[in-house]
Amino acid sequence: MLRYLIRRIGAFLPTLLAASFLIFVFIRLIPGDPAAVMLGDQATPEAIEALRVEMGLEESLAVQYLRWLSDVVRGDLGDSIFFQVPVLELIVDGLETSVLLALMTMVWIVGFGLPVGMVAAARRGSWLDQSLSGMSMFLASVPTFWVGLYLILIFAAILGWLPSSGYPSIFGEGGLANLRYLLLPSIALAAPNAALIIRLTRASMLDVYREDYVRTARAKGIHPLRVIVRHVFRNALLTVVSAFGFTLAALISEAVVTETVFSLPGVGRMVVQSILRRDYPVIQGTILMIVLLYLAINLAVDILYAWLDPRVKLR
Amino acid sequence: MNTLLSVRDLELVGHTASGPRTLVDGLSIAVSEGESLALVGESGSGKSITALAIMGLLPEAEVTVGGGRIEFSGESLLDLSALERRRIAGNRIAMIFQEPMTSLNPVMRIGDQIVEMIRAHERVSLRAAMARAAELLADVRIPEPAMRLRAYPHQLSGGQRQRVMIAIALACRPKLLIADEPTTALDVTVQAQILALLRDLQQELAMAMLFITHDLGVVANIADRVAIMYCGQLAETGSVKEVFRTPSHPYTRGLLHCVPNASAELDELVAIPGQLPSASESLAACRFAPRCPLADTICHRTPPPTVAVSAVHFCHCHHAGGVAVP
Repeated sequence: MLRYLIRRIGAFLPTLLAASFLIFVFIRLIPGDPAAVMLGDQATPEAIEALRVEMGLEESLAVQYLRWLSDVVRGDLGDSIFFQVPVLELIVDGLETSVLLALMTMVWIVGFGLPVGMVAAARRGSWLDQSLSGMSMFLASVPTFWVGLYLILIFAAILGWLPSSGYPSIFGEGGLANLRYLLLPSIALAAPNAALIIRLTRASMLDVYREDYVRTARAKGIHPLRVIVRHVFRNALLTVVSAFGFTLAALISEAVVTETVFSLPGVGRMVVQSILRRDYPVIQGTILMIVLLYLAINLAVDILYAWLDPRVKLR
Repeated sequence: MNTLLSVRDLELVGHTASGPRTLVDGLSIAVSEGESLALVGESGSGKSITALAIMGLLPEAEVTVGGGRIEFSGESLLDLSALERRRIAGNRIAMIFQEPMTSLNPVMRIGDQIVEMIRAHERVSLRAAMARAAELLADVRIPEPAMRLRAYPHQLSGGQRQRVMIAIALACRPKLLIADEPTTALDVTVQAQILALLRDLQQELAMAMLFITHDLGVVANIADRVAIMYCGQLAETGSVKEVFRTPSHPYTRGLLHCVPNASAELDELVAIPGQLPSASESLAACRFAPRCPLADTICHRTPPPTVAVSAVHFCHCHHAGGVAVP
């Protein structure tokens, strides 16, 4: 197991290297000059030129890349051009919002998607199954920002039950009650993904239900609920768990939109704003961290899978 | 001997896209206590679906009971509630299946799968149930049973998995064991071992057995009596000895003729001409008539009578000779 972990984490390095190169090159393909953006409309060409030299933008791309890479290897993601503070600090600041948002979203996805999928499968063909399937098709097909805007309209603007935007830290004034700021965004973010999990759970439960070992279980004369939970669901979970990896990855990109709609001070919104500001170090640093997170999630899913399925050996 | 299981005029109807279709037509069989009955037929003859009907495991959306009775120890199974049937399934009637490779839950330990059966029907502690599971594994001749309890199905061979299936089936000392082609998926040497094991256990536990197979060699090996089915109808029943020595139904004769014989100098395998009627074909009154060398118009029009060849041997054929039973 330890050897497996070391090997898998070792395999992160080439992926990260390739990702770092792509990130570095692709942001520079976007037209726009960070120096010009920083100095604003009134800047003289001389002033912009001077700033470009100061920021090292006049050197060749290869030199710039290697300099950045050698800093990154030493744990230095550079300073933000816009904020003039270390990128790592900005990421850590945004992390609280983003991690809590992701966790809450996963709670909805797992806590809602799995049971609803189970019920739909157990009652297949009934009106309940059909309305649940219809609902999940609807949720899967509407974009996150649309759901977000309607949630704001209904629960914040009309009913006034929940705040529409922002997020004060749970470590500051208000404490854990501040989590209510994340309620609407996490629901908006969960909706399409939970729908996917509902569909997947239902489909794989129905698949498993036809398996010989389910017939064996029924031949034992055990309670039907036990057949469903211990035999059908446990095996259906194998398919669903491998989809969790994709879902989490999708969350990362969808969080960018959601954080923007709800003005949450998270990592996702920071990426969007930094792209508009051409704040190269922040974009590079944040996306590199997201890639690392994505790799870690996939590793975690693989380990979870091996734990659920005794036939899979991690070597 | 007392009749343990009695199936009378059972009719099973399959619901297909092209409408309902009779899968089992007026089947009557009986198994006495401690007796071993082999139910023989080609695939599609309705033998497995009959077993599922006895267990109460029919896939309800696809197959329903159209008529008839199934009695077990004098109780009419088809009249019982789902809960009452669950008390019988596994406990007093247990079943083993054709595919040992896929019949065990891949993510559950062997021990847990045996214990689940014990604890479904008896109030015993987990520890006691585990001890019993180890004994059961020893009973089915699995070496190092205590260690094997912790194994997962994929760590066992096909033969061993079928032994585990037998251990699960025998966990509650059932009065009747239904074995649905339990050796078909195994290689020949393992087949012989499993058959010997089943025969030994059946005698040790004085358990009745309904053994479903298409293999006449197996029948001679394991059964006291045999019931031969063709396309949902019973063709012939009787003691294995009599049916094999004096087969009276043309289908049985055809089947016995098909068994390859190492001593006979034949170049080709003999086969019954024609094939099972397809799902869309309309059926003759005697299902075998279209393939039967003796068939005439009456066979297509009138369902075959039950003819007593002897006191322990019955044939369902217009041309069997012997005395018709009303």
